[in-house]
Amino acid sequence: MVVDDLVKHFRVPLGGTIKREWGLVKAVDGVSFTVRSGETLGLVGESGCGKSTTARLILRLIDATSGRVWFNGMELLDLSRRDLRRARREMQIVFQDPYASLNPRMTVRDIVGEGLRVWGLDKDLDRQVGNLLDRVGLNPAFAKRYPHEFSGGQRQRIGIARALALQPKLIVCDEPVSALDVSVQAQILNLLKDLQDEFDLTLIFIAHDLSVVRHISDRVAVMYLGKIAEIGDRNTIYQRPEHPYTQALLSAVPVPDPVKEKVRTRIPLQGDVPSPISPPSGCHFRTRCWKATEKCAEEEPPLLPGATDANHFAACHYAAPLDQAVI
Amino acid sequence: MPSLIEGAGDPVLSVRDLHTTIDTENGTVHAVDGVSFDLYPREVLAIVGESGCGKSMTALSILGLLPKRAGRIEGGQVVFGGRDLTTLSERALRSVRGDQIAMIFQDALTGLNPVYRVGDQISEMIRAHRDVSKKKALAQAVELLDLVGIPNPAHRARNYVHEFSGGMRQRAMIAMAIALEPDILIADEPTTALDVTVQAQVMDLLLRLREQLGMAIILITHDLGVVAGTADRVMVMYAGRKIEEQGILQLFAAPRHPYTWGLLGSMPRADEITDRLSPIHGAPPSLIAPPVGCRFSPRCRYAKDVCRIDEPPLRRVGDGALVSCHFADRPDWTPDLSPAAFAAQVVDGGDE
Repeated sequence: MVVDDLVKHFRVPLGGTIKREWGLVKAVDGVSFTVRSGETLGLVGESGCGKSTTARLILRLIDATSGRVWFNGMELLDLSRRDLRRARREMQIVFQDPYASLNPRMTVRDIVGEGLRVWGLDKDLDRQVGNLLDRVGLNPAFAKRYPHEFSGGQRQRIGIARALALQPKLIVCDEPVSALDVSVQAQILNLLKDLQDEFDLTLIFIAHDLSVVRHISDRVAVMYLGKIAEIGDRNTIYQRPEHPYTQALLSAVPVPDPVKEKVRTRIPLQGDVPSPISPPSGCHFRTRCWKATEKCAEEEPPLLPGATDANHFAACHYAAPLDQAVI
Repeated sequence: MPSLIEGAGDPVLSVRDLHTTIDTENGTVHAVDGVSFDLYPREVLAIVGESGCGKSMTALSILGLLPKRAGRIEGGQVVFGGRDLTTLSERALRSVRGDQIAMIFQDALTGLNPVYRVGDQISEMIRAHRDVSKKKALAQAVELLDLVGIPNPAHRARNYVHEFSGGMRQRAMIAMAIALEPDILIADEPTTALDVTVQAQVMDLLLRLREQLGMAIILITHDLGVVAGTADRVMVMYAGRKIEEQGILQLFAAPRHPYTWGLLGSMPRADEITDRLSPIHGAPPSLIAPPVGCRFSPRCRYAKDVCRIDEPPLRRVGDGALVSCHFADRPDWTPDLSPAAFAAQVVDGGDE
């Protein structure tokens, strides 16, 4: 998949009593990246960075303001409704909230089999659904039950079975384990990895938990205020980050090792995340960055190749790895 | 278990054999099923466990904040300031809450009222316990907002909760909680809903306040990373009981209970590459009809027959660890935390 300069601006009312005033929330402000077949791209960032919106734009669950997305030889944002429908067989999504993403009035069989039915592939549906449930670690007999009879982790498995039903090439996982306990989270992450190997899936994995992302991703993109700050191979991002935001972010992630925690120094960030309605000029991160100069206010830094390897990019005029690892 | 803080002296809070139940439509849940622990002055005691283990219920029991008709303390004592809090009237408890024991929550809107200005709420709290004028209380509220690192505190005191960002709300809630310099602050998942950079700031703030005000903190969380950075001692809960308690360094260096190993082995780490996680299979037992024997045995790879019949008591093992496991003190049985050891436990597909 190739995403090119994806933009989504939301018009929002800003108040005003006699005449409505409008502002523009620049939720996604020019995002570009590639995902290779069979790999997992982790998309991380803090709240409001635009990662979930990006996921929805790729799948055309919401319409983009501008930009292009190529997938499987097709330009997705340009497709007719009919062609899009066909393309959607190849892309699926697993949502964050296991309680909201399953229709409470449908049985598991109906939920998992819905896609197959829509495409007329529902011959022998019970067997197909049974196989899918088994593949995600659930008893096929559960097909008759309703979502409320299951725990959060089990519901996520149902959601994953549903996503697998049409044998897609790409699955977007939008915070699939955030709502789950640690031990259940581990089960689901292992499952996703196994399924990826078995079905040669490409995953776009969106999360705010940097430990989870490190575990599952091959490459990682760090987002801030609607833009990609840094993107590259997973190990490089975590071991030798070059963008100041990534460095600060990683330094804040707590590690379950009290000895390490005692000696770590955190890079503090001043202030709060600016509003996406009026992000800072030039580099969006400059108001909180210790390296910021006038150039940062005037010129928005493009994604430039980093010092470490050719496939690593950071959007910073002064990107440089630190002497010590931050995590 | 004695404090790890130098010269701490006697515990400031003692919970003894606490039993708390909650009535639900499916039956009565034994949410806290015989929990005891001490809290010493100025220490940070972390209570960790996954959802349903009883950690939040323990905290609510201490302050008598259980759901009005459904929840009740069935037995045990909560000793604070020479009195058993479980025997106090609501009126007497109200004078303890906020003033001597304060609590902050995961959601700032649980602790703060959305229809009142922040400054007014804090000053109202102060005036409920101290004899000060409205003007003075408001001035103190502004000072508190400044103390917790809210910029422009005088201006912000006039804001409503929804006008604050997530991190700022937590700070405002903390400001209200420490207003009267309580002896104990109970923090129930204070940073779970926050971004990681904000989380780090809030945890730093809590530690700083602990130094400045000399209060003890009970930190309730499921996040072992946060625990590693802030706690002095850790208590692990499972299925309504305490199953392990150790000093922070000891717990991570040599966890004694298989559940604790399971937790540590199932966590992905941001500082290392974890190839395969070692999840704990199955799910915690129902607390409506708790199982016989060790509650963790159905999920434990080391379980033997005795585990399924006899509930292991909490006892001292090694140098100061408290564990409830029949096999915790076998000298030849050191936990093997290597992925390979846990991989044996991982069955194809997993299950619940």
